[in-house]
Amino acid sequence: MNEVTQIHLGRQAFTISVGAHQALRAYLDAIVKVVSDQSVAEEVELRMAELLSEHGISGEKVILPADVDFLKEQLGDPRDFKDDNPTLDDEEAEVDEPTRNKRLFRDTDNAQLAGVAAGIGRYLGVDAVLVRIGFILLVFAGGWGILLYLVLWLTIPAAKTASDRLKMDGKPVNIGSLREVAERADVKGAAQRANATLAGPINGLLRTVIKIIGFTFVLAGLFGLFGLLLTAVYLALDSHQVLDSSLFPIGITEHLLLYSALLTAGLLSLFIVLFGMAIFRHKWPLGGLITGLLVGLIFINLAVGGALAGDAAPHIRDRYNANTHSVSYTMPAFSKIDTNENRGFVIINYQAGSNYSVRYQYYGNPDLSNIKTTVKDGTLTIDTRNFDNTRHCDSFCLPNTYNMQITVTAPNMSDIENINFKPAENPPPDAPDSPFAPKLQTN
Amino acid sequence: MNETSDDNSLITQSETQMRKGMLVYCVLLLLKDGKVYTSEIIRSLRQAQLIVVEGTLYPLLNRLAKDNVLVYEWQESEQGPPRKYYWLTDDGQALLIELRSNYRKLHASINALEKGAHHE
Repeated sequence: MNEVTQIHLGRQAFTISVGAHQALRAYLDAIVKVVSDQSVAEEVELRMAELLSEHGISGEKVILPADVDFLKEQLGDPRDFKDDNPTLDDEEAEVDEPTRNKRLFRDTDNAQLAGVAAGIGRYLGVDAVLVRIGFILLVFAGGWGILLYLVLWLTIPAAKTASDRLKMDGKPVNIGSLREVAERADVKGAAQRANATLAGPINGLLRTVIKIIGFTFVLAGLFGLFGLLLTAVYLALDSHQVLDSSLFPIGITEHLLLYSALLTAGLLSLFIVLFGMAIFRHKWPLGGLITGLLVGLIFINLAVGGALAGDAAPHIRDRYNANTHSVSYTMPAFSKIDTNENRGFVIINYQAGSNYSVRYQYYGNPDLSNIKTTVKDGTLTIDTRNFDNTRHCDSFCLPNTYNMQITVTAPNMSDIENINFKPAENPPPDAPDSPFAPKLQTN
Repeated sequence: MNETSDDNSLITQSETQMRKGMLVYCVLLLLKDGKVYTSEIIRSLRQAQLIVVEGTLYPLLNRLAKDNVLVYEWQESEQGPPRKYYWLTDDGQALLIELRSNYRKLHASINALEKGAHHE
């Protein structure tokens, strides 16, 4: 009675006594003889496994003849399995597989990253490597590949179960095919453990490229976060310096706008870091809820920022206009121009006009006395070497410059030597048409 | 049909036939609200004392699927073997409505007969 053997019932392994085995075998054979359909026999086998488990038989516990009797009692006489009313219309038997069409899943088994390319390749019936090359080309085409991949990653579900994997290939989901997939997965897992470099050289190269991309993302995101942190700290310590100086008039809207922009940029940097980590780990590092909350926060921030910007823009424009001045000097006639200007913040334009004049157009109130404008022996000299374009500030100063536009006018520009005369491309500033156009003041 | 059954009395035979006749209607009723898997169907039918052994059910479900009354899908379960979920097709819904009216007519006829028998 101690003699036992191993059997498989519906994919599960059981230990069974020899006597019980014979009884079970005979019972199953009798059922198979009665039912015409193999799938019914397989289903009965599955049900037997389930009943035995419910009956408390699993693991090391041995199936005894009494348990087989229990099965018979539950399932009934083999004759009960006989179908009294055979199918009315055999041609309709085709309909018994509801899933004939392929479904798009992320093929995580063959993934280099998240299985998006492998899944699309399977769905379209092309090699995944081609899809990957497509994605990489799109990355070079302005980075769209990354965004597209990210969106697809988030929207396409992963093939988690064996039935998902069957649907991915458009194969019918039945007990036989499910078993096949499970066995294949086992074989594949074992093969991967034995030899981790099964993939071809292109995939190996891709993996390296992906690792490098991931590393770059993490690094870039961290740099971004660090920079934003510094900015935030600086703003907190010395906000007047920044907000009072340049285009930002002090106001609650502008303050909030700045912080909102910082927060948005910080969250985006965080996502860049997370994306890089995801590339490394082949898995999005956060849970769905937290990711959703972060994405929601970004959108709320963008909405708030947009509203604030709409409110702040007129203030900023008014301030810019109010602080833009110009001053003109009428000069004696000159036929040569000598400028030593090579600093970027002073831009010299030349234009034809009714008289000889020089006009300075500037933002803020810089000290103009440092600019020397003279005409001597028919030569106009504009010397901006001593012009100080930085704002005077008490403590640590951000680079804070005043832009200066100098317009030189002469009745006949083509007579003037030593300049790179370009006909004025912009309309004369006397006729402002942009909101930022300066208000003309003439001395 | 069950000529060689252990208990071949007229009562048992008649009862078995009655149950068998109602079985399709009962299965459709169980599935009318959505997907149910085989063991669940068995459990419900057994609780309602409509079947004694499961054997009769497998060929029935199989045939109903072939006749396009039901469709099924295998789904993996978290524990144990995969489960076969059945649900009604449009044909199945139509059949259910038809069987329901048939059953009510039968019920009414039998009621009438019973009342007639009492009056006598």
